Amino acid sequence: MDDDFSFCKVKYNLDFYKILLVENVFCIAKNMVKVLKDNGYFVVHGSDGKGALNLYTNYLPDIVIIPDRLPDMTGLDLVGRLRTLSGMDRMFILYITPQNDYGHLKELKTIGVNSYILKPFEAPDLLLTLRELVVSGGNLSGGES
Amino acid sequence: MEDLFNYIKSQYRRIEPYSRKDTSVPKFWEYYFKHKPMMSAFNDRYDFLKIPFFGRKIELRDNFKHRLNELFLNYIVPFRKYLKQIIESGWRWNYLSIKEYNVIVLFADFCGKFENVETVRNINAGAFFKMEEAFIKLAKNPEYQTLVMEVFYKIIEKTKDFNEAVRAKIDALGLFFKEGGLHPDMPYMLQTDNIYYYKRYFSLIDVFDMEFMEGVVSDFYDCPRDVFEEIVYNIESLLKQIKRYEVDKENITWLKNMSLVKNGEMPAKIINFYNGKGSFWAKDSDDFFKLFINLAKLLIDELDFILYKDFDVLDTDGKVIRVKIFDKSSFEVLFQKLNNEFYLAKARYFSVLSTKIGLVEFITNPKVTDDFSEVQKFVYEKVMSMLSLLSEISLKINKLLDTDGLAVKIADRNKYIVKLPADLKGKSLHQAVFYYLELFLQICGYFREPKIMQEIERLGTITKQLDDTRAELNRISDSNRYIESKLVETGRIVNG
Repeated sequence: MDDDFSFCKVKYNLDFYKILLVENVFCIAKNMVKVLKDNGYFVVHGSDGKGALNLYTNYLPDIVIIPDRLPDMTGLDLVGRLRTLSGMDRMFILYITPQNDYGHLKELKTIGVNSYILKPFEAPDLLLTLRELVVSGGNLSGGES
Repeated sequence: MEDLFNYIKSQYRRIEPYSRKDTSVPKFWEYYFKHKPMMSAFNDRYDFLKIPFFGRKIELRDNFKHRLNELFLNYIVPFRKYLKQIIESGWRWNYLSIKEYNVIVLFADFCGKFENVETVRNINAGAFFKMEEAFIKLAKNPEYQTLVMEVFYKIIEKTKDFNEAVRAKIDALGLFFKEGGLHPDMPYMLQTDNIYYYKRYFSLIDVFDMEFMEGVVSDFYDCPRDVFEEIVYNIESLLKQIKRYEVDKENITWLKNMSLVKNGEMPAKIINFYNGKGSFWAKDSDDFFKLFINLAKLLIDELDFILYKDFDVLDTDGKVIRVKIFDKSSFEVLFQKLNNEFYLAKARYFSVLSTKIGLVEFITNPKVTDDFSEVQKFVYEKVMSMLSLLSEISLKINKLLDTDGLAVKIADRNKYIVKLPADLKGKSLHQAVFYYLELFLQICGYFREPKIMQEIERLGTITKQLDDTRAELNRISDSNRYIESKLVETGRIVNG
């Protein structure tokens, strides 16, 4: 075998995840974007539901982080709209909610949320939940902050 | 190296036995009524001692020295020539265990001490007792004697020295260590010299009464410093070899996973690409040549796009940027050749009506080419040539992927997301390039491109070489791997 004809395992970061962060509170969004970018994620930010749907079609993110309330629709509405789009089966949804009641969390699962995080939360909680989401392939029932 | 040598020696130290025999001078009556009668009775057998009627001035007769000399010449000298060779090189022989090597070191120590015993003039007590101690270490443990003999059987069988006379000499060496094996035997000689030196009677049990623990370690070679240096050098070189084989194995395994589809599975990446461009894989599969020519056309169009046109990419702020991913100069020659081969194949195949060869038959029947018509042979040759060019292109992409060799530098490849072409939409630039590599390699693997297949076939050989080298390292390494740790610690070996 010719020595030149040998392939090398590609090592550069293929473990690459795009996140669409939907958050209308600017200072919260700014902090979260920084934390996520610092941890190697590609992050795009949308501040309302319509913008998020637009960004989704352009970027086809791997993970969408959705809060409970948005200026133009609820988080649940946005989840519902996203789940009707093509290619959504390969995307994970992480839902940010302040409500810790069983009925609400069950509803999240029913409409296609892969994991949730309870408000208030710290950056490590968010990163851990994202990591678990990626490792589990979206089969998490929920995340606790 | 000096430090390491001393460290290893201290870690795997041979525990030295010590003699517990009572060497005190007996009292007058004890000597005359207990020891002297027993000494005389003992001496009756070979008369090595001159025991005076009065007084205690016992002397050794010359026949003792002669017998000692005879034992040395007959039972030790025949093996001396092998000892140096075993100690210097025995660690290299995979048929010799560390324990066997160390038993031979013990035997060599005994032989050296035996040689130092002066047998012409008066026997030097210091030299004799050193030899005695070395003898007892071997004689008290039957396993050691067996091992010494087994080593000589093995070594002599490996050399051209082996014959019945030599075998008889090794058998005799077994007798040399045993009480009653020879007449007189070594234990009797030791008893005699102890009686002579300490002027009191010693039974065999008294002489052999030694605090005895395992004298031979199995953890590492009890070798001299120069041999130790050679072993360390060898361990270092084996570790480097293992590292190379591991990298090779990892790379080939990766290539195999990228190129081959599992038995019974469809080549999903190829099919998705083919169908995604508006063709129908399932429908075209009834004619392998037509399918491949179509596939080649789609690939050429794709290469034409990625080499000569811009990609639309998005940054995180939604801004669209136009970029070239590939530097066309690296691929242009291969691309042109691919184009030429494609047109030759297409022109020939579609100009003549030819019997169809189904894709399944082409993939599953290794002898399918035997019955090819002239046209099919020609087109097949072109197919193979196109696959070879595609493997060259794949190799180039692979070499560029982890470097700054592509038009977009490595640090920027995950900063942008492809917008157009649409079938790569949502991928980072790095993922887009990787997509092409995966696709091209799967095509090469699925259609059995010879160079790729040959590379994958190396996996068996590399795995065996890796296993053999690891086994060799395990064989010669110290049991706690101190040497390897030290080599890593001092930076002579890069770990991980």
